[in-house]
Amino acid sequence: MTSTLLRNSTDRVWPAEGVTRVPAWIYSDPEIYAKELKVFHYGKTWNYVGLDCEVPEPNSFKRSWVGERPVIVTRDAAGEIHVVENRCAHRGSLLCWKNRGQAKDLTCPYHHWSYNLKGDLMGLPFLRGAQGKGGMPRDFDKSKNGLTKLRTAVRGGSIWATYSDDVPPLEEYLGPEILMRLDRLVSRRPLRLLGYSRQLVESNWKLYWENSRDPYHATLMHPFLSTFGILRTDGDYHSVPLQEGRHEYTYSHYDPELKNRSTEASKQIKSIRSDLEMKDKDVVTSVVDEFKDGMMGAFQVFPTILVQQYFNCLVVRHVIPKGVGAHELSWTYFGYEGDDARVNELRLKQSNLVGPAGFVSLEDSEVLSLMQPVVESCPDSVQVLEMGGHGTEAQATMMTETLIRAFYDFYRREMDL
Amino acid sequence: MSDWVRIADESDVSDGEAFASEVEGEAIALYRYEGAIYAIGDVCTHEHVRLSDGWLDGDRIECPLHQSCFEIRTGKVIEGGPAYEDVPAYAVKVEGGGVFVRRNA
Amino acid sequence: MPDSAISRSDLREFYEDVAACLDAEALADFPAFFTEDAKYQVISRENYDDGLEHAPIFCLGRAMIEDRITATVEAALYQPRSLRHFISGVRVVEAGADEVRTEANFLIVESLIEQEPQILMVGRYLDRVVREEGALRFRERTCVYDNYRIRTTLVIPV
Repeated sequence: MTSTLLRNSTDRVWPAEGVTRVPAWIYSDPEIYAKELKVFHYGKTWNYVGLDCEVPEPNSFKRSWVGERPVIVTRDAAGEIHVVENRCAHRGSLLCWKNRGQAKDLTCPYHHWSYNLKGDLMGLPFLRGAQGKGGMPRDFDKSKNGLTKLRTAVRGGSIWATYSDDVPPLEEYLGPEILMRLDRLVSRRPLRLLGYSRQLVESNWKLYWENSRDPYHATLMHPFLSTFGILRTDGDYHSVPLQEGRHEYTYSHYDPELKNRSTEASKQIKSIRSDLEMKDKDVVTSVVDEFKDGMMGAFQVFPTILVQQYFNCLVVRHVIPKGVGAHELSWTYFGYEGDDARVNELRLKQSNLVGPAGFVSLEDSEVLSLMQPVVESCPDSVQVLEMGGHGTEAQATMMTETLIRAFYDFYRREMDL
Repeated sequence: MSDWVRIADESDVSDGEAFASEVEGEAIALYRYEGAIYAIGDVCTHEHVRLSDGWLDGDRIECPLHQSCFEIRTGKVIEGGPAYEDVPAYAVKVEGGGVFVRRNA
Repeated sequence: MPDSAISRSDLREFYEDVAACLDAEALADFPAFFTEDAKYQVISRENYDDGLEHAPIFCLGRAMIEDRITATVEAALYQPRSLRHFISGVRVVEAGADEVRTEANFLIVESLIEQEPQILMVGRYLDRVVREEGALRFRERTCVYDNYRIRTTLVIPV
């Protein structure tokens, strides 16, 4: 990338204040976006691509995405998981058109090149021509013309892929704190797929990435939470950045008494209403304590997922960039094999809380899609991130932007900005 | 086809070349190899295409579509292509200048 | 025809009343279109066809529908919008002793500030309708949307 290609190269300097300021051009500059994909999604990271319960049987497949690139997650006849690009090695056409299914091989609709589920080219029509004419040259080597294979790793029920040969093994990339939280949800029991919600949000992917690192907005913009006493500024809450800002986790302990208390902090939030009650208690107060730890929380694994548990609703949010000004949120809801009817019903009911119609998430996409044209129109403006100070350390409060600052600390190093 | 059925003249079948025929709706190909005549099913078990349009290489026929290979003497699939199942092999006899086939018991 | 029988024109009128309620954003009136034990869900065709149960809107019982309306009216924050429902092909699939199974197509056009109107959602209603206290009500309404993705948000019931 040469600086002359930038629309206004002198502006591409991070504000002198450091991580307490974020320049708006990072949300709209196509070159920044292209560099992010190269450095992050196609670089030294592990990308979440799916859950093993989505490819439950041998000879099954599902589509996924790494950055903007379509990939196919397969389970071969021997039960082995593979991740390959969903792009025919011949002419680049989209190979697999179905989101999920069973197949013994992958055949391109265009010229019927056929690959096994590992991505090896098995055969192509008229390799030797027809009636002695045409066909591929004698030196054409099928073994060198397979699908692009990604390095793959499986942890519990989660499937990951990377383009990098250098990125450390998945376990090391995730680190002990994330591993513990991931294992808690996906490694103890076989998973059961409950379904998907897919949502297109017309904002740069980082606006969403920051949003889920921003507890400050949660009680203000999502009045549902405080109204029904799920999350309050006066509750127990922890924001913990990891690996110098790469990943993070937050957690709180659910306190059913919280709604009945009124404190200084809660009085300041005008959205708190004491007269509102849910008629069906299952959505916000019935919990089967399946993890025996009373914990609710979320964690981010850079650069692809936010994993969140609301009571018994378990969901992976996969953030898939779709150009500089849009991203898809692909929500995968899951439970466990052998869930009883009661737990299953709670999971389905509580999934009303999150997702594109979720009581505590619909505001995010509303605000972010309205925010994108504003930040695009003012690329030289800056965001102010001083809540909770100037640092990037873990903090035991919701009134902090430490996780966003930690992210941009990491981001600037990786992006060389 | 539990009885012998005449499928070709002996002179139709020559070395290094498949002879495609059909009996009672079943596509069958004849091959002459090291002096003997062999008959195997002519539709690939991977995708529906006639193997006899493919590439004959010694004792194996290679599918024109995706290069699955089958032994012309036995119909057995050779590992390495996208087909996993064998094609049927038929009993063959040559009598009075004609080639007869019968489904193997 | 017995008094309790549900004619096609009754149904058509019922569907239009429900649509008018939603178009007018008279959300408080919406739960009354359902029986006490009703199931109301809005589910993607992807999940529905694959036998996956998750639905972005999933209500078991009128109380949950009332809760969703309360949450939408009292708590949810969203930009102002106009919705217009276009319903076609209302038909009875199966007439039982005390209920009819019905199907219809829906198209919902959403108009937001500073934007051209756009299709919010298109799909099928798969319903079970009963007559209760003289009025038609849904015992079940499953809205199967064809959209691969929901654009931005789904705020108002379908």
